[in-house]
Amino acid sequence: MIRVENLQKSFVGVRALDGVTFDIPQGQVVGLLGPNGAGKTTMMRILTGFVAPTGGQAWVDGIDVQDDPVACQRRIGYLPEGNPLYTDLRVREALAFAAEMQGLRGAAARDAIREAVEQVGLADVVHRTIGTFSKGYRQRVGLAQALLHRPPVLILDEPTTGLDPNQQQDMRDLIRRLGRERTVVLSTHILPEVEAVCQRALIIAKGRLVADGTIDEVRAQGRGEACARITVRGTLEQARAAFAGLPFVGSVSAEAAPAPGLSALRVALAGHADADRLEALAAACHAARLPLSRLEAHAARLEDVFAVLTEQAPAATEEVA
Amino acid sequence: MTTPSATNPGAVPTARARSQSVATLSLVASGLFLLVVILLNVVASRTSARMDLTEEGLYTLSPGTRTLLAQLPDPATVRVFWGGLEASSELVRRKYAALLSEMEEASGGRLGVRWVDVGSDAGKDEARDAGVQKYMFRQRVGDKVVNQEGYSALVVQSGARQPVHLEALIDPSRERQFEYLVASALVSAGRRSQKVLAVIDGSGGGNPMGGGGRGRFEAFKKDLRGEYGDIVQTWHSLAQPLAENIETLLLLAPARLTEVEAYHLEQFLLRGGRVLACLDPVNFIDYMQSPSGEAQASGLEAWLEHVGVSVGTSVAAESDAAMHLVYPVWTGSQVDVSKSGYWFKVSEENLDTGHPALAGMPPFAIYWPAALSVDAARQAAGGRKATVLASTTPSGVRVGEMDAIRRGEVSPGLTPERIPLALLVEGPLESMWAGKPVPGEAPPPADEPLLPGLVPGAGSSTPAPPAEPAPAAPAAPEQPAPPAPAEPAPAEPQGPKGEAGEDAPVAPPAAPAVPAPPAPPAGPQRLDRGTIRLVLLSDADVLSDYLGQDNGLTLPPPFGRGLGTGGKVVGANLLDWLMGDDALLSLRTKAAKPRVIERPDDGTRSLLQLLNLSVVPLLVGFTGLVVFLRRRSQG
Amino acid sequence: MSPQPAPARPGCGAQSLGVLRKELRATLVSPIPYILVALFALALSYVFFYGLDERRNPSFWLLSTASVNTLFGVIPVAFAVLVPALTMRMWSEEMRAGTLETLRTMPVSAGALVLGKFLACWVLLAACLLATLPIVLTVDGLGDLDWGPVWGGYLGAMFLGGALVALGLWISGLTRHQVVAFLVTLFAGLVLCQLLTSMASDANSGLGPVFHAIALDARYDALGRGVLEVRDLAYFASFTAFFLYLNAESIDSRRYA
Repeated sequence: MIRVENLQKSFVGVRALDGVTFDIPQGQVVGLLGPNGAGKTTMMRILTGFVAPTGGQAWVDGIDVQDDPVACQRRIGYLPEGNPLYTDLRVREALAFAAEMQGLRGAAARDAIREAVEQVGLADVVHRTIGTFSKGYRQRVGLAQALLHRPPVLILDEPTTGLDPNQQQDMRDLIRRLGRERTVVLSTHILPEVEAVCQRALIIAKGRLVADGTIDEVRAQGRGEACARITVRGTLEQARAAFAGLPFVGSVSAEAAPAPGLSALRVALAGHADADRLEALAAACHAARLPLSRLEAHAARLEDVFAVLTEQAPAATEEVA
Repeated sequence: MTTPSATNPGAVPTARARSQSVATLSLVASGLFLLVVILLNVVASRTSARMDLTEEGLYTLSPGTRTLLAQLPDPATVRVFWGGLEASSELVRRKYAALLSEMEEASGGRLGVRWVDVGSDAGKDEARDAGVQKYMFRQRVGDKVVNQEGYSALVVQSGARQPVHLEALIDPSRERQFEYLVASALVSAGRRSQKVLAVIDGSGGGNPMGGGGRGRFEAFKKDLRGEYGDIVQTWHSLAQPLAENIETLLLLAPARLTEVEAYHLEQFLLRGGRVLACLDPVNFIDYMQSPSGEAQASGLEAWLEHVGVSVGTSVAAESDAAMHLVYPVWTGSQVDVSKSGYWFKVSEENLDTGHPALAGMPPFAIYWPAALSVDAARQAAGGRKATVLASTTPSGVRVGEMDAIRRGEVSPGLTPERIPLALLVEGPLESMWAGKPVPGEAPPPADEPLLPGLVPGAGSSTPAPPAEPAPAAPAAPEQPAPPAPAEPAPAEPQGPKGEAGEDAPVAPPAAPAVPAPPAPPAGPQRLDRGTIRLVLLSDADVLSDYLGQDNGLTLPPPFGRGLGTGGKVVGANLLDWLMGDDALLSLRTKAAKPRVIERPDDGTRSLLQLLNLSVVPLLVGFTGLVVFLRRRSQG
Repeated sequence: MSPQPAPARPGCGAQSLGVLRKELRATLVSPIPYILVALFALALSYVFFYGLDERRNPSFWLLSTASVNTLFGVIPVAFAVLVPALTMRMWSEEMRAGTLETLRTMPVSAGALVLGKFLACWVLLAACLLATLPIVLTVDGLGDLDWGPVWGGYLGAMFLGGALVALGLWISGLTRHQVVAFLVTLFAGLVLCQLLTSMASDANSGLGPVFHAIALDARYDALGRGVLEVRDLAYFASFTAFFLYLNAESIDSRRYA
């Protein structure tokens, strides 16, 4: 449904996207992850035709966005970053305007507005001026506007930012529901959201795609970010010395000590934290005469994966604000 | 897992090229668009397709002009000398060019229009040769204001006759009259007969004897010369009999005429001359200069009485406030307007619109007119007919009290009546002096032409050499005729007052000093009866420079424009009619439609002003407030 | 609600009307248009009934002529001030609030958006002109008014206003700062409606005729005399079209920024 090939975008002196390629099949809910300034918003703006790429191509439903932006835009419902709205208008007026822009008229427009309003739970407030709304309601208006023309593709730029936890939960539920029948791309920097909603994650850093796959695959891509939590009676240095001989051990760092004389350690492991490796750790402690009081295995967390991947990304260019 | 650096090569140049090509394309397209826009405007500037929205069709040829053009007696050419003017003159030039080309078309090839390129030396030479005057104006150059010269004239030539000039066409007052001016120039350029129209200006304009300088009717006389060309001659006194070739006489503001002068006027009428006499009991200028100006006797009272028209010493005024017109009042540096019963409107219903000269005549203004009355019995007894061409409403009054007149008040308690303001007197007349001796007149020297200056070409355009009046002497065909009454009264101090057109340099007043008065006066045969045609207009102010038109004196508009010019049209139309020229009658009235408002009283005026200032803003503000409150109440 | 095949491609005209409606709604809920119309009507009635100076702009009562030439005479300058106030927010506000993104990601061409906004400003201008109608009616009530030049004047004012609006929209589309848009448009408008004609009358500049041909008020004067000439109408129309085109072009080219 959405295909992007070697997409590039430079602003004056800055490269915001630097050769991104991916393909999203119909019906997938994809999370676009990345730190601020990584190029998520630029990516979405290119897909929606707001910004033209300086290189590469993007297709929506098989149509080149550059060739026929209007045809693509008719297939996309877009919630821009920051959710800009005509705050002077009432909900109904804003939606009527959007409907007109989408080419809906008369009864079709009325039906579309009613449906969209019910879907996002705005039915009671259609006569109110958008400017009087709280952040959560505004977000719903933005979403209703995006849903109005029943687009097969939804592109949501940070849909939950600024919402309180309950609202975030509501929004996630809504997106999940919408994602049953649609291709959805949502950007976020909240990882649990991706885990909760998306089938697939794309991680962008410094204008480049650094990871692409299902949540599990991405996790796997974040090599060595499984870890073990170990509590020993001894110092950090002693522990480091003890583990120095183990090839799969990455960094060893200290965590808050549970009691005097004890050291809580976090040992990064390359690959999976499987039984063999834990046993090897235990053996190493024993050999170094460090009494072991706790040993836990931790699978890689997305945050860790994210951190690793985004740190790794080569600093090809400056970041973009 | 991507290997980012691998995807880069090749892509970035493409990207750059792409955005550059988009930018280039956009620039090129905008440039092309601009080019198309410029071309379109160049093409459009050459078209003259237009639509005239004015009610009178001011920018469209009227049927009268079309008829006139279709019946041009000889092929005529119009040479336009235009250029060196302010850039804003372009608008006017376009109007003129459009009208002229329309005329060219309507003439069916009888009229040719040529624009002379006055920017070139050849054009300048041509302008000089044609005697075209430069148009002087002041213009800003950098931060200075300097005098500039340009051309805004046209020269109409019909056959081999004397060309007619129209000058200063850039003047705003001329813009609306352009069609009429050109038409009248065509008429006068094509006029075959050389009937002379004599103007006797009682205000002394250009009179070398009477103080010289400007009279009060310069603009009107200038217009007449523009229209009729050289057949217009100006004199300042009737002390001598009028020359034979004079057919029509315009008598402006006669003041204290002597019996001799009255006699000459009567003789002129009796021999078939036609006269338009504009009386002027109280005039604007005297009033402005000294508010004690008295009503002035014309000197014709006795003779008019004899004809059957009496001119009292009173002034006609309107007591009907609806007819009053406004005039400016200066208080310090402020100008405001006021109105009174002495500056009033003569509306259509009080005009004899059945008369050809007044058909379609819009209302015009009149100022301190003489209060005429018709002595019907006397008229009837003489077999004459006096037609009232214009009058006041039935609420006109005769005011004799000068104080009231000066204060602009109409004294109460006067009997209202319809007072004639313009009269046409036609029919047989027996001379007032029949059987009596001719009133005292000085027999002029035999070799002295009676009315010097009847030199063709002494009109406005070609200055006549000053000392040339004698040779033509067309005035006295039967010069050797003996003086009818041999009453050698002491030489009139006025001497020979005739002087051709006021533009002529002042002739040395040596003539009267010529000592030898032996020759008999070469007056035409004395007539005791005849059939007369006389039009009396009770006011001359409306033809004056001050009230008649834009005069460079920057009077506020009520006088400069609007009704003010109406009187001029009445005067010119009546003259035309008297001269038997009616080609222009309808054209003049077209240009003259005044649009003067019914001036409400001060209360109504304030109310109207207040309503206009407040209603819309308040209404709009109220609407805004309602919208705002409704919006707020609904959240 | 399930995704459906998109409806027929929306027509440009319908969308422009949609933009027009939206702009009018958004404008009419703010106090600005009411203030502008009220001030416009107030200023013009004042000038008309009280006059500015006795020679060139005398009051109606002093003129005592059934003509509204003085009214139409001040319209170029009045518009030069009014139009920037109308157009300044049209694009600048969309940029500042970020709604330009919403707008540009809807299936609408830049041309349709520009046209819609132009029409919205034009309608507001027409409302301003309508507010002067009571003056004209007053004059008509007091005397024999020739309505030909009046219609010519109104038509000319609409054309003049259209040209200024197109210029103002273009300038508004170049900056996100309303104040900048206002000031630049005001300056450009005054140059086109006032300065050029007085520069054209300076004998020192050989460009006089060119200035005069470009000046908007000179063209407008030609219409206000009661003659509609194709060349003046063509000038206004092409001026307007050119700046609308530039506007669409500049809005569109923001994608390549």
